[in-house]
Amino acid sequence: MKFYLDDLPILFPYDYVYPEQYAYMRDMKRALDGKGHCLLEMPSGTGKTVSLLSLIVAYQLHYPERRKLIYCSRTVPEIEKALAELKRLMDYRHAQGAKEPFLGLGLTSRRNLCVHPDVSREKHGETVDARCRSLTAPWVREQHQQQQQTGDQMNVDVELCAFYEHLENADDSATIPSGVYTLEDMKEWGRENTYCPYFLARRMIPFANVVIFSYHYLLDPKIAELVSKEMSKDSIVVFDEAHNIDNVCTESLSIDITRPMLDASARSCRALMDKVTELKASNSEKLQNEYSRLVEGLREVQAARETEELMANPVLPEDILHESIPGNIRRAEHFVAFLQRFVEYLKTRMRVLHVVSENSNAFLQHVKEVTFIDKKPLRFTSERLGSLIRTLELSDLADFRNLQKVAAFATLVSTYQKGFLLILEPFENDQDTIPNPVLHFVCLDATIAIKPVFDRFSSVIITSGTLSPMELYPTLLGFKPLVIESYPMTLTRNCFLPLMVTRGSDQVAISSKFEVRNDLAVVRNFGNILLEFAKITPDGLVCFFPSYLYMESIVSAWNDIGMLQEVLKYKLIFIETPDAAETSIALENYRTACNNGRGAVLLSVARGKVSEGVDFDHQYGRAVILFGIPYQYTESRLLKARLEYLRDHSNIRENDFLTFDAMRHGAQCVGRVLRGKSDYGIMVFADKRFARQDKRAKLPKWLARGVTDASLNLSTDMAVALSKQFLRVMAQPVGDAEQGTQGGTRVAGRHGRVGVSLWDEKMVADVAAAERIQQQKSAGVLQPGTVGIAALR
Amino acid sequence: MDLLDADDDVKKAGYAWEDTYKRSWDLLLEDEAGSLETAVDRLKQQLKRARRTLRFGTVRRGIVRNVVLVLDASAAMAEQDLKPNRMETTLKLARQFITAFFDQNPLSHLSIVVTRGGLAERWTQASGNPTDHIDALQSKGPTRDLYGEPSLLNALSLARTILAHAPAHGTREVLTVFGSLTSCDPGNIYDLIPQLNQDRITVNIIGLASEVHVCKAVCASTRGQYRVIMNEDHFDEIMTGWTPPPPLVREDGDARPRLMEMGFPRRRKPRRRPVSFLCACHPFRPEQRGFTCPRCLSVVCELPTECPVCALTLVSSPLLARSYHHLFPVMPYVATNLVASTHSALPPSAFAATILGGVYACPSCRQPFCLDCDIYVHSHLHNCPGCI
Ligand code: SF4
Ligand SMILES: [Zn+2]
Ligand SMILES: [Zn+2]
Ligand SMILES: [Zn+2]
Repeated sequence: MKFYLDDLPILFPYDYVYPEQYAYMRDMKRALDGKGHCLLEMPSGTGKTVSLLSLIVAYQLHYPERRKLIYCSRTVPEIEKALAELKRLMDYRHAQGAKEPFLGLGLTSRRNLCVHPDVSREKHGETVDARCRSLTAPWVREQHQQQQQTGDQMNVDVELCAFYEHLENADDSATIPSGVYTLEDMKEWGRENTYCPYFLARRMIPFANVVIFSYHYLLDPKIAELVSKEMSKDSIVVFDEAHNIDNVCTESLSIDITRPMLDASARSCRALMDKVTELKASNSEKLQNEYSRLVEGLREVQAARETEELMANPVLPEDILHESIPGNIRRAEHFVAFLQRFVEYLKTRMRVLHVVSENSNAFLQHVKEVTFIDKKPLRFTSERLGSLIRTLELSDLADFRNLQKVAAFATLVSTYQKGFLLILEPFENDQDTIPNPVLHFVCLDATIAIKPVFDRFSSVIITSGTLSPMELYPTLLGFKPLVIESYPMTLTRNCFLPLMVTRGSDQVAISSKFEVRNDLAVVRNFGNILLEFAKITPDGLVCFFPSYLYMESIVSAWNDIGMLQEVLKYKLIFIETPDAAETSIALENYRTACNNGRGAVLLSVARGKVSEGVDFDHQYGRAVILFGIPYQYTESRLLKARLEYLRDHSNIRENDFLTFDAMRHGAQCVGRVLRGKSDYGIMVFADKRFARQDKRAKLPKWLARGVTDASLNLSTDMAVALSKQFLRVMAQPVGDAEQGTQGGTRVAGRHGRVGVSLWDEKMVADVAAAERIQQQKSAGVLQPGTVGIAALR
Repeated sequence: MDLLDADDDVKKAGYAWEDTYKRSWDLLLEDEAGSLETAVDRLKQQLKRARRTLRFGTVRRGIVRNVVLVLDASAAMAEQDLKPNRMETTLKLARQFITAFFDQNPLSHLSIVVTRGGLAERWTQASGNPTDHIDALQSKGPTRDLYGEPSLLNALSLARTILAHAPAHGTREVLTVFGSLTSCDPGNIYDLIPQLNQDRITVNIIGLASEVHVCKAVCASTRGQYRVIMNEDHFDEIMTGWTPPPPLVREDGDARPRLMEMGFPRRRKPRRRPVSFLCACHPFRPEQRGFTCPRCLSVVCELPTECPVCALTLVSSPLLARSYHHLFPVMPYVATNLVASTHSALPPSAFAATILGGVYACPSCRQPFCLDCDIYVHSHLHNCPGCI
């Protein structure tokens, strides 16, 4: 269908548009027009991505500025999904006669894009990176050339990657025809034309209309510097599934250092030293060259070489010092000795058997007292190490990863003082007696990493299915959105049933609160909820616990009282573990059991892998149970530090943040079972605290609308009765016209719900006309910010 | 009695799903129908009409059906959400169904399979005699024997072996009542589906609690229907929906009618003094009534059946006539824009019995009917009174 938003024609690849999609596009356009940021919460399964792409592509191609779209998503499957949507949209536009040159690309790590016959078979991303680097590093290529020129063919023992060579030699002629390339398409094209898809994609980014990649390409300074430098200022940046974006920001600037890492670093230092001496004997000229280059303070010309992201500076671009490297670390051997000293220092710090928490200044002070290392050279550690590695022509960087981390730590700790904290924890758990020290260098302030993005790009769109409470994000991320909006889901049948179970059938209140969580009555009542729902839920049932620790203790308690055996009569049980491989096997078996009618329960953790990336649509999740409120582990020192920081600097009270964080994870968990309007699922919130207004108010709007008085404050048996009824109703056949799904065939105008949850072209036009009148009226009143803009244009 | 039956839906407290309609106020208010009751009534009417049109949608039907009735007898059938429990209700409805089934499909065969404890067992052999099955249900269907989980795979495999012997000209259907939410299978059920399709077997399932994916998948890929009941009335209704023959689909797209051999046996002349004799079909049971096969002259005691000696299908002509109405149904009546508020508003010749609701007219004689008469005509009379 085609419709207009003001003067902008939008081609939408479906016959109907949901009202919330229309509103979503309208508001987003307002933000783009006003060149401002926005924060939009749109329920999952309502075609968020397709609306977003339809609008922005239409916007790009209609207005002369041709603003580029940078679309960031979290995981590779999500990137793939977005690319597929984009492809579909462009096919539709073509079918509608809009013939325009257009390039849409996805970028991910080498592991997903490599086409080298050997390298691509590696399982681990890091190994792929390392092996690729050993085939493509500039000095490797140089060596190869020299060998070719001097010796006969037999002597050429340096291997190169043909795909990369072809691309390098092709120079500017290596381009791809316009179109949308999914990751698979890209590889296909690369294979056919012998171009490396990974480097080709990176090269094509400046020419693409739409680039889809993961958060890190914008937020992690190490990568962002290399990849996203050339994006123009008026690009439109979208962060999708962005409910966790503040954590991504802080994590991109945080570093953990452990004992084994330090040991490995010390070994690397020794190896470096050997190399240096060796080189000095064989070819001291090279070292001399490096030295003079450093004296002149020339920033490495090669620094931006595309193959070397591991050597990039870990600090944000504006914090990089543009000075020459201080004298005492210019000489290679001096620098290595300097590094050794620093590593030794860290080792001694690690021997302390009590918790230390200090800020960067105190740390630097102490470093200075003990080792006479100044702050200034520390700031250059990363860069200097990169230069040395390049001079020594080391391509197998995997061995040096730990040392690089230590160097990155040194650079970060000496660059940033505010918003960061050093915490040394000698024991993993407080009860442990064997030390396993970890030095955390934590970023407490999410605004630091994301500020350059907001500063640089005029329109940043942050969107997700769960962003409530939305007032908090602008503070957390430090930006002023032009539009903040949350959309309800228009449904003609209530396809999800939120139930707040506050007590067991025996009327004892249930809660995962620390004081009561191990009471036998609570454990038994939680178990009963599981059992009852295992009985009545068909196929898949997903449960979330606040932490692994609690899950373990309650599962073993259930085992003791025979609860698990009862549950096993109805369903198989699978458990998520911190081990990713184990979990994915469990998930696979879980899915099989859901498919073949055996039925299964998946026990998982609210902040685990399952709660974030895995969808439990249709039979894979007919019900989800949240056992307790997924609060973070409040005894964690890192969390405490962050809370303190937020209280002092952002005026966010500890409790507010904790509840916010718990509820957004809770909403994220329960949202896993509802992935579209044709889907349905039960959402059980099992904790007496969920019934309180302050918790409920923090649920996303679309979810909160489903919470009625009838579903508050239930006991287990009441919840079960409601659920049984719900499942029966949902199992009744629905005509398309009844619910209005966009896929499949529909008959318009059957006494259906077209008009309620589906709009066709004419209805959209009517709505738009009505809105225009409304706006003309309110334009006289002139409201600040959002409402007036479209009318004033 | 029959007349009252059609009324039943309206008189009873209402379906449970109407409760949910009542709760969603916003939905009702959107219909500009004014008062709430009219809205609810209208929903009811739409429902009834939808049911009716569904049943009379197709013309080409197979009147010879080969059916395996699969009953779940697992522990889940002891649940008491149907009164007295699921199994009792199922048995009751199954008996009703079998009677109605042979009433409307006199030339068909049925067999009963039961699954529990991960196994499937055959209760009755394929036979066209309703009493065999009803007896079996009565004698073998005690509810204390409900245990373990059902196995859809085993039940369908067994059904497939039974249906493999069925003659090619008939339909092959599996009608399943499935109370459990799990199926405990020894293998992969999805491997069975192509085999079912190859044998032209259609699987229909009634779920008693909620939607189970594997049931849905099996039904969808064998062109069958999967329905979940709301309550006992709904259960009854879906089960009754199985009685008329399903539309005939042939894999090869061959639409030509096929001929089948049938014999119309003669009744043995009743003697003045009743004598008992043995029939060919039940060797150890003395009978007083019998029919002679026109081909081999052996005696059977009940019709319709297959001659146990020469395998000829034996029917009586009234039975055959009864199966005919499926082939020539009364045309569905069309809704008119008349609204019958009182009787006087209708033409005096109207067949309308109640006052409320819309008026429907026969497309050939144009006589008006009320909704209940409409349903009665189509479900029981099979003749339009106006046309006659
Ligand atoms: S250059 Fe490209 S194709 Fe070659 S190894 Fe590296 S990623 Fe793989
Ligand atoms: Zn007999
Ligand atoms: Zn015979
Ligand atoms: Zn008529």
